[in-house]
Amino acid sequence: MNRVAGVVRMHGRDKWTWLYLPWAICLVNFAATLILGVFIGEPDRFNTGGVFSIFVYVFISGMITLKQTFPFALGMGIRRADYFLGTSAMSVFVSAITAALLILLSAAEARWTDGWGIRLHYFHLPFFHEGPEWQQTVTFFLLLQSLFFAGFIIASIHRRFGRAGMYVFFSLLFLIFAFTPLLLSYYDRWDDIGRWVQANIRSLNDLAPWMVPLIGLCGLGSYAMLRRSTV
Amino acid sequence: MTFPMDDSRPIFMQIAERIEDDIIEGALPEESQVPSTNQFAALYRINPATAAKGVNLLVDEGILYKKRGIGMFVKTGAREELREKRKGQFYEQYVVTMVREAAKLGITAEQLIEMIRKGDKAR
Amino acid sequence: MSVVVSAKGLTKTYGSFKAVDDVSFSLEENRIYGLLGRNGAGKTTIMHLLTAQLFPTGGELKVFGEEPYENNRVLSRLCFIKESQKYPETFRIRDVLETAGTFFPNWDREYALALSEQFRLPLKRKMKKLSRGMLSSVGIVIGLASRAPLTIFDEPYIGLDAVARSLFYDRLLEDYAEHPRTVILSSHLIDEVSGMLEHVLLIDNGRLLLDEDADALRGGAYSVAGTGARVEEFARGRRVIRRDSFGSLASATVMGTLDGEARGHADSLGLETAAVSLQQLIVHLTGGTSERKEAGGR
Repeated sequence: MNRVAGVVRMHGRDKWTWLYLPWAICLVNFAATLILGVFIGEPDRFNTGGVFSIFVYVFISGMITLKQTFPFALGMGIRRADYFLGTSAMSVFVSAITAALLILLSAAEARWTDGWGIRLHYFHLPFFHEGPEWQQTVTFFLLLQSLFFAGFIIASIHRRFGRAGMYVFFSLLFLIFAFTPLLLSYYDRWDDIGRWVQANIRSLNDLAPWMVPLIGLCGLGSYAMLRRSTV
Repeated sequence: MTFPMDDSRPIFMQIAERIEDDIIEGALPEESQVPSTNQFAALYRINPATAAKGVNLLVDEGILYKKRGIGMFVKTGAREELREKRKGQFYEQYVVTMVREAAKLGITAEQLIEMIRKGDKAR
Repeated sequence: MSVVVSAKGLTKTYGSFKAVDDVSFSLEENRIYGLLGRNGAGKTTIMHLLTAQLFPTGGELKVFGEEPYENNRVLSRLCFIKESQKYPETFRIRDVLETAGTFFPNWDREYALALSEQFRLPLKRKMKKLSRGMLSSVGIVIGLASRAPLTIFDEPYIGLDAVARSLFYDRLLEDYAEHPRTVILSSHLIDEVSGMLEHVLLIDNGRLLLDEDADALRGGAYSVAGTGARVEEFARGRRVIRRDSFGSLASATVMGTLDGEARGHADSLGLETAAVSLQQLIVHLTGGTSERKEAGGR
């Protein structure tokens, strides 16, 4: 049997972590919001962005998956490359399902049920859901992939370089986030940025082209780390 | 059930000796089949290759012979041959050691012979 | 016979610490090898190197004639069961076995289930809820049912009682007889496993101390005891691996067979002789370092 497919099947044995748990969290949150909306009214007040729990979860699952399954797969004689490919394939598969379901629920909310009968905005949010549904689906897929691989590369750095690698990585990240605004202020470019964003980023869809290189970078980076990782 | 092997002597020799004992005592009559290497391995929890080496030692000595595709068998005349061989070893293994120990304890040759007679009557 | 593993000058260092130090050996097909030595001697590191889970610092390593790193032709023929193997926490035993079944080409599913029953494994229980002994049993089931041409067991019985260990030894020999393969068994329970070994590799402080047929080691050493001066006289010109003294009495463990010459020499000096078991020999060789240095100096 193809060993990449074997890795996908290994992940498939853990549907709970990959699929059920994020949706359980998201739907329980939705149910609570719905009930509050029905009994208290003014559903707009409860639009707490509960749907974002699923994005946070995907980011975390990118980290957990590696820790849980990489030592096992390597111990069972799986190549690092096959592990990476199989895990990536699984994440693509799950991201696609999740994106499609999220857009389906968004359409149901906005188009077919008028906010589940109480004008609730839970799945359909401004900025996030603009343009045709197929485009939203692609955008959400890319967003979920970005988050998964962001989690995955963090776990890969940890696997490759241990705690020291984490310190270096987060220090660099901190420096970038600390100095970029400083530099922007120093050179007085905030207005330019603001104008550019206003002109070009009208919805999440406009960010999608930026996600592609991010996914590629995190993916390649993770693979480079795993190639030299030991158990 | 496992019969422990002596870990201070080559196991293949111990296997050969146990087969020899069985032949001498009649547990393995002539022209009967000897257990397979894997049976020895399982019984004594030893490596099959080591067991095979012990069996092959007896094949080389002409005690056992191989029937192709069936297994190992005890050769006719093997029992008598082994008895003769063991008699030769008896002097080295028992008599020499006994005489040496007797000398250490100050037992004279006459006393030793007397003891052997006594032991012989008691058996 | 074809060579399954060949290591030349294999070395693994961590900073200045040499975990594996210039080790060379080769393993032949379909034999059972014992990789013996004290804890921390470097056995586990060697096994990790064989399976490309660690990277060597130096030397050459071929498994099935090829480099094992990222090589499916090699890795798909290996099964390495180690004490420290981690399993996904959310997996049940059944998930682990089914996954192993997709990874090992020779996997025997029926056999795996039969073994699980014999080891009394609750197939539906989550891995994180297993006792130490159950975890070991899962490893043993995978190792046996994988039928991998090179199967490596690294202290596979931690937490198992004598009955379960016996079961492992019996199943291993039985399945090895039916499906011959190369087995490396790393163990510190030398007396329990020694009979099953065809060949012994002894590792101490990262170095290869012995590479010898197990049967050649049984009776490959003996000890003499008597007064100190007489023992010294006997030891002259012989390879002594251990000396002990108590008052005016002394004993020495000597490499070699207790043949007519040695026995005669000992008798003439009034020394007692005794055979040394494989286990004793290994304990002596890897025991206190002072004796070994002393022995090396003479």
